[in-house]
Amino acid sequence: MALMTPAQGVWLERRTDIVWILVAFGAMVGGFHVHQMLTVGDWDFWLDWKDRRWWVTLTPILLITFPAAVQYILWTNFRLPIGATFCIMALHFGQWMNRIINFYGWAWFPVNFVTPTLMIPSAIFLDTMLMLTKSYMFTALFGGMGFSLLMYPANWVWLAPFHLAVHHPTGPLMSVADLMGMEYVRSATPEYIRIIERGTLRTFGRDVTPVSAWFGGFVSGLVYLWWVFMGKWFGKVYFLKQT
Amino acid sequence: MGIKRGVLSAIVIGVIAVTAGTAWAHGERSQEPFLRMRTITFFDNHWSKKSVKPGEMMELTGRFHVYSEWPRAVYLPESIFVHYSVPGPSMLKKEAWLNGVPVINSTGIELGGDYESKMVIQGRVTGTYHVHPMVNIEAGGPLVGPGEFVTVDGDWTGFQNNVKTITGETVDMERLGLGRIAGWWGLWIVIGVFWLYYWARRPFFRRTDQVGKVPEEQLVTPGDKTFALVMIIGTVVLVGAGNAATKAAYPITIPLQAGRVHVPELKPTTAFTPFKQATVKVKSLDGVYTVPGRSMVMNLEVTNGSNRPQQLGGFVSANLQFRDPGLYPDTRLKLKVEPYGPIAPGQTVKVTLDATDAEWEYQRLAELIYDTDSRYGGIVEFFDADKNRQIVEVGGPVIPNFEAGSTSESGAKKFRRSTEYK
Repeated sequence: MALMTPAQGVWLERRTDIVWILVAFGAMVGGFHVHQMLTVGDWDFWLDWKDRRWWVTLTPILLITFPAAVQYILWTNFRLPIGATFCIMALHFGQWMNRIINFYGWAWFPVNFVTPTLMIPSAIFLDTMLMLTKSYMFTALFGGMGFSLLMYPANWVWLAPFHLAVHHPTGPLMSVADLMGMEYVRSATPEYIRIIERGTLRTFGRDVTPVSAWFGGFVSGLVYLWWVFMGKWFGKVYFLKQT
Repeated sequence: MGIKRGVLSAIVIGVIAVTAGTAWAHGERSQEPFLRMRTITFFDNHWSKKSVKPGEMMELTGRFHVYSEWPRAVYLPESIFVHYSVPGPSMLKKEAWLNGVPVINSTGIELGGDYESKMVIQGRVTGTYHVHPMVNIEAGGPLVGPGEFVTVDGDWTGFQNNVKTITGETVDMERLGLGRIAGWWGLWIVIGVFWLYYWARRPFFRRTDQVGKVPEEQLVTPGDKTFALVMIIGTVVLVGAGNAATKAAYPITIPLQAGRVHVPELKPTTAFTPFKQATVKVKSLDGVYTVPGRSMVMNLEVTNGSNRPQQLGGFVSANLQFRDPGLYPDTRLKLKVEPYGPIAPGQTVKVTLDATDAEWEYQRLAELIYDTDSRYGGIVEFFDADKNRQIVEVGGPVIPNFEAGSTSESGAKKFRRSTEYK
């Protein structure tokens, strides 16, 4: 068959683009979601793990990884500043499938108890920072910091109601999140394995969140550069020498 | 070939689906015998109801003893969590008490100590569940007590779990914050999709050929830069504004609570004297387990240091409670004591206990002879004339006996198939 008209060529090109975008999206849903479950894990699964120290610090550090690598590949090869948003949207798709089908549908946990960490604002910030600065170093410094600093306030909008205080009938003062953690039992997740509010940032009193987020931003910048090199390594094309 | 493989896969999956049984319990019999015998000994467990409606409360009460000679293979119970085991949050834990102290968070327990637990449980999801008391040991894992089936009977559609906050609001924890979650998540998903669409609507793969060959302004236009500037500023402003509005809406919030509570020792009462305060002393001389007869025999030296006659009437180990049928005629697991009868105050007597039943096999406790640390453990119960009780730890090496068709001591034909006891 003779090749098509220019219009048909454009049509075929767009369909090819869409197929590859969908394939990449599916691969990212699987890969990034597994990474997130294995690293962030309980801090992201459960409402009563989302604290002011560990959740705030670890989540951006561990989730800037794939976005950094994919940003490198998409920006260097395609000049597309969507690597972070693409990764985070894929991650959120996988997370919500998991939380609704598994956690809610099979195990009966209320959806509000297993809501993931919202990272879209952080991802958009990282993408636009790369596009405006055109520098991985500046993106690491400022984008990594913004990626971390935006996480807590972006999530507080839905998290705040769960930090209302409750006087439990047996005596203690608890947040609603603590109470849900106690009542919605997880037989294999006893309370002592919660790594929350532990550490030595004691002189900051109630204002520990910005300090944790700032530290998370600093490390996120370092991890960003590390994973940019991962993207460079994975995105490299090797050719065999002709003999 | 493909069809054959597909048919074969379908057959295998079908066979697995048809033959797979329902998982009714929690695999508690799979725990190694020394874990169940020499760590936490659960006894006196009571389920106040066997059937509840969604929203209805029941109580799970009981006692457990912490074995003094804690096995080296398990971390010491310096950090534990009092819990119960059910499949998911099918039943809600409304209250948890240990020796009269509320234990919402984790706590610690002492070796040799005795503890009374009470948990108030609320039915939630319709179904029948095996409910066990459980103690989680940090770095050691869960230790489960005996289980009972409890049915949550009724429609749980519309189930509410209301709680009143200290600021006076009543919130339903089943649905709290769903509007905010849907609203904010929905908004950011729209923004994220819009950002992706803004770029993905352009030809995609063609750009790989263009990078470095065409002017940069053709790939990322000044208009794109303006749009990116709007996006980055808009993102920061929207996050900041949302956060400020939320802080205004919820001015009083508290952080997650991570405190520990101290649980005092169980105080003795007239009816029950814990191990540490027991006036009867027991020295374990030896133990023999006869494999074919499912029979555990222990020789003990008992000294009655109390001022009342005491009769050895029970042996509890690994969730099995053997009782003297003379004291408890309805007991399912029978204990034979020789010499039989009360021990006078001040008297020291050598006593033989014979706990023979197929439950040893059924509960996979006969496996204790294959443990790396072949020692038995448990508690014995002494009763005075008014059935006031003292408990004392026993334990020591256990020697296997493979003589067919006999019990350790009597040789009587007590062998029964374990299936008779299900």
